Amino acid sequence: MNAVVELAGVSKWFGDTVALSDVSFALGAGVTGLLGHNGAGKSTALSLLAGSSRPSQGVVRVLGADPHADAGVNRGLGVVSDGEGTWAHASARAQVEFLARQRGVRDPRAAARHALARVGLAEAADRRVGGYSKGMRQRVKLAQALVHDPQVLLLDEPLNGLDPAQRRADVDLVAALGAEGRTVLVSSHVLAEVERMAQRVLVVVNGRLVAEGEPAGIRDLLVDRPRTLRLDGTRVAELAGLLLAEGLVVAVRTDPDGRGVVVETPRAAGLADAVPALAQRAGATLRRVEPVGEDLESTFAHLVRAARGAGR
Amino acid sequence: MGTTLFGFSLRGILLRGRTAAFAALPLAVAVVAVVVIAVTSVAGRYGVQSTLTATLLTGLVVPIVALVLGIGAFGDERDSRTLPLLRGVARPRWHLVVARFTAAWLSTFLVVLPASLACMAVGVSIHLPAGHVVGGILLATALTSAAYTGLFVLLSLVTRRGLLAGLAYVVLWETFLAGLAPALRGLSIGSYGRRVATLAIPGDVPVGTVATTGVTTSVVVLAGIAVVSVVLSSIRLQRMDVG
Repeated sequence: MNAVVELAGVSKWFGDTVALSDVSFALGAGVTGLLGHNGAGKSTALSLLAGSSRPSQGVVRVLGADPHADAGVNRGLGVVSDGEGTWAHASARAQVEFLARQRGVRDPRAAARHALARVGLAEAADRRVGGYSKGMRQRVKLAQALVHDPQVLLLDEPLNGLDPAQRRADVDLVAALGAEGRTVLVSSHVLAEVERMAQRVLVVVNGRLVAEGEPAGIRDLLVDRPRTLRLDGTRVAELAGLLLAEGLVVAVRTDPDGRGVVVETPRAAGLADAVPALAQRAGATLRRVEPVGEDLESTFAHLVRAARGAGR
Repeated sequence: MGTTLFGFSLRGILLRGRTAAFAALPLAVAVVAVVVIAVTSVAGRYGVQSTLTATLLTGLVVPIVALVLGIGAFGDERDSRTLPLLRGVARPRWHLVVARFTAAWLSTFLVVLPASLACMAVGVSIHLPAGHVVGGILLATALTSAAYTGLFVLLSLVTRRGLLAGLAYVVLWETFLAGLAPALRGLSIGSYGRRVATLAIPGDVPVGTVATTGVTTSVVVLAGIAVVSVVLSSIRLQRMDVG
């Protein structure tokens, strides 16, 4: 793989707070998802790659140059940053055309027209951005990033503020940009969205890169892990007995709210495969199978432990 | 340097509601000048000319307007998170600083112009040489605006609390502390500005805290402050984190 974007041993800290710790990865053409909870370090990594900040330690290279020091990198780099990022006083066309000109585009007017059409803002392009909805402003940011036809795109939560139809359209757009041979790094905290755009996923937890690979592999890591589940329905106690006998669960207890039983399984995917047949054997009818006491933090904590065990 | 960078910056500053609000300050000075010309005798206007030009124009209106527009040159970009976009253009960062500074300076000059014109009108009305009055006030306004704007553009890149720091500087240093001892006048932009403004004020009228240097040296000092501020701002923008 020819590395177009590269972080090598990069750390970034702000006072006593470590935002990124010894992160390394290299990206070639195609879409890569950067997955992590809020505050995990996704925006910091993207900010370093965009040249908006300098690493405290390590090396950042984009298109073979240091993006913080070399303004020339911006000819081939498009960025959608977190936060506002638009000029409220100007129309979408004016600001997209302005950025095209400042990035050395030969025909900025035509480039702005094309970029705005691509994000679905052709008709509203001459209105002041200050009057736009959040979703429309998000699309202006995407047009700003695309207008100079960059080889590298860094997109920080580009789907924020979009309605479902817009999200679908933008997921398709990002996937298409990768298929065109661009290097696209897109951050999100929603695995399902990343899966639809990216061929590869990087998972960041508490400033550390804890997993990387194909989306399916990351999903297995996230799903097939120790979990606590509530089984609700008829004859669920019998079903739990069979699960215990098969070694698929390690603990069973009655749900304190009287809604079935709570089981602890070391491998959730194995349990899911076995439950239909065992429920039939036990004569159980399941109304609901749901996780207990889970949040994104615990999911990522599991990934941290898994990454340590695998010696990533 | 392309005009678009400058033009976009200028439009951004002039279209802000804040700019229009602060335009009321020089307009108030203009109204005072018109009333003075209408109701006082020529002899009575000598002291007024000094107060308007040295105290109000150079000592209050220019620094306050330059503070608001100079800090906004990059401060507003920080607030709206467009500074990474600006820094992310494919041009040397000093182009950006020069464009922003020039836009803020020209905006300051235009916003305070009613007050400058009013001071000129009072000066001419008391039969001072018109060339000295117009030239002195234009030079004092332009150079004091440039020095203050440059300083505040730099301040906006150094701290997120630029407006507060700049206001403290204007109120405490420029209007109070710098007048306490002659040695401190050399560290006051306003005192150099007033020295240049003396070209447009009758010689026997007191003009407040004035630099001990001559007019030519004061001109060089004010221009030098602006240039050094722009250079330091360019270095700062090149090195700073904006994301």
